[in-house]
Amino acid sequence: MSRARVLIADDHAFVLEGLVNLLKDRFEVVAAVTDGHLLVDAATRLRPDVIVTDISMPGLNGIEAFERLKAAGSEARVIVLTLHADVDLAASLVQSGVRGYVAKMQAVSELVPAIEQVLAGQVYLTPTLTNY
Amino acid sequence: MTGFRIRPWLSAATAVVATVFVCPAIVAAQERPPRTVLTIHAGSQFFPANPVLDAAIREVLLSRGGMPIDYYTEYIETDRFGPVASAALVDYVRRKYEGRHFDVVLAMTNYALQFVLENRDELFPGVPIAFAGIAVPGEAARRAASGIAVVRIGSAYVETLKLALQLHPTTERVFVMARSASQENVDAVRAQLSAFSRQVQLTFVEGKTMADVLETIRAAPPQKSIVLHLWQRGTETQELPDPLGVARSVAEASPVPVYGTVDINIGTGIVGGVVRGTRETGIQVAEMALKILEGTRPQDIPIADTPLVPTFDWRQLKRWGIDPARLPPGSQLLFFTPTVWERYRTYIIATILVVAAQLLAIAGLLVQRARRRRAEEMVMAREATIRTSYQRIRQLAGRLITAQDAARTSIARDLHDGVCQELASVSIAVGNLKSSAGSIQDAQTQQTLSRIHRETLEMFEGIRRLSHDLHPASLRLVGATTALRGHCAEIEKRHGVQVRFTAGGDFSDLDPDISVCFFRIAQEALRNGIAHGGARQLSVSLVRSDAHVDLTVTDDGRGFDLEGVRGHGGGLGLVSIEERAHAIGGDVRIVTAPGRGTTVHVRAPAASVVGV
Repeated sequence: MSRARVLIADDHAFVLEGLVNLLKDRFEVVAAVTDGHLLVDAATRLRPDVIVTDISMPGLNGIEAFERLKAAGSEARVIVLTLHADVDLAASLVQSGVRGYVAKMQAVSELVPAIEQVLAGQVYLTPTLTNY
Repeated sequence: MTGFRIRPWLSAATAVVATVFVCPAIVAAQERPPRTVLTIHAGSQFFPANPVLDAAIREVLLSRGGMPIDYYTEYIETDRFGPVASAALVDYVRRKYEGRHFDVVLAMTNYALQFVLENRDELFPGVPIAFAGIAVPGEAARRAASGIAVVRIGSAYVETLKLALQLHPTTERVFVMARSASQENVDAVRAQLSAFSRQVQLTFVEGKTMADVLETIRAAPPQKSIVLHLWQRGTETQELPDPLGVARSVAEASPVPVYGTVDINIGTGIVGGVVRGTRETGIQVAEMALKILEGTRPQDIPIADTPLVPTFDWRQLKRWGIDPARLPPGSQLLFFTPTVWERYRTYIIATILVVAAQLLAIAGLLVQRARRRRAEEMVMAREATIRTSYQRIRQLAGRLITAQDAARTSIARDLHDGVCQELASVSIAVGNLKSSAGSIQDAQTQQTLSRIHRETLEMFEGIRRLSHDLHPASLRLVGATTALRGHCAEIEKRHGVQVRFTAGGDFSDLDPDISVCFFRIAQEALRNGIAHGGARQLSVSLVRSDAHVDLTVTDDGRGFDLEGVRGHGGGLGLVSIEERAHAIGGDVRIVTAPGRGTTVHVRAPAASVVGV
């Protein structure tokens, strides 16, 4: 069984490095990029199974990048990794096709299960969602 | 009541009765029969001086005497009828006054005196005489019989001519009108005036008729002559008796100034002269008659002279261009018709003063008005400055809020995107570290790492909350309604109150600045309601129509006195709400009263021009 191919996007280098370290043992990390444009390029080029992306990024943010990829027919499953643990935001994102919503602070414990759930066709929402 | 009224009436009646019955008895005891006085005038009753003389006599006798007097007058008209008039008058008086006794006889002029003396024994036996005339009878005559009191009538022919020549220094010829039945008189005048013939040519005007006389007068050469009108008796005159007719005719005809010596002629057109007072003569002789009636003997009354006074017709002075200042001191001016200035000098001066005062007042008012206008302009200019300042202050307030928001947003972003990311990275790193192989799996190390991870999470939560308060980062991502709903939920949780949120309309294209404004206003209104009003139930409504966004925040708190708070400079929260609304061109309506809760309503254009 080949490992799932994961594309990671976060504008924060340390976070990006931590995420790569977190995931590299379980998944094939095809690329780690630092902004929305690079994300769109890499996703189009590499066709990953899962995209883990931050929302706040320079240039194009994660959501915008997601909208573009969706419009371009990308089939990659997108997990949003964000500091905004907001129910409404999560709801609206899931409604528009995002498959996972993970609190960045809980990444170490949540991200791997989240990717696995998403790969299994489920939607993952962080249990730490708050109302603000 | 009636009794009281009757009393004054009774006393008045008593007084009347006493007067009627008692007084006549006293009066009757003192009363003597009326005295009888007869005046003989020379010439008809229309002869110039006679009416004046008679009026003066009557006045004195009847008003000053204090005794009843029967007064009679007769006229001896020998000048018109000749000696027969005298004889007829004797007969007339005898028959007319038969049985009457005269107390005094007044003889006016020497003719009258002559008549009285000639008929004294027959008509006036033992009657004292008061006389006024030119020729004074000798002392013997005055003492004879019951005596004669005398008023001497002077004639200032010389003085008059002298004065006239002074006033007209260029005179070369004087026309003298001195015609009399008595040649004696004429000669006397000629003699008196003869001294002037060295200085001027004297022409005694002759003429059978008045027309002849006037013709001579008309020919008098102007500038070089004057007329001296003394008397003109015996000339045939006009049919209708006119006492002053002669003088008037002469004055009218004369091309040169006419002077005279009789006061009553002044007013007919003559200039004037040193004249005897006709009225004064009458008064003097009547006063003598009164003394006689009171018991004084006529011969004991000193001879009196009629006053001779320079008298002038003011109008004639004007006509002939004679300066009144050249008249001798003590001169009388008759017919003085002062100029408007002379007559109304006081009024004119007063009027001028009043007008001047009014002009001053008007000028003062104008100056005051100008000053006030300047002051008003200054005030208006200052108002404009203040208005501009106020607008600038509002703009600055708007900018301050914007700047504050920008700063908060920036800090919030730094916290969120910087610190939080760092914390996330630490969290991930710690997590990775925890699961790595080796001595790290030691129980104590794992415990420590877990604690670090937990503390990192707590720190993150704290910073995230702070960041959210500073600026709702989600606003950018999720829009105004989501952010506000989140905020309401957060408020509920934080303060243990109920906040109902409703939203309507599409906010997707709303300018982020407007979103922030509405968010901040709602935030502030909720904070005020809870912190100051103690509200427990609150509601937030955000409705977007085509053109506007309406935000309504209602609470069940204590409310407050809006005007009172505004009057004291306004609560900061209130000011910030209003300034924020103004910054996006919106209006704020606050409905509140103590005990009635508070409703804050803000309406702003959806496509706002955010100029600040």
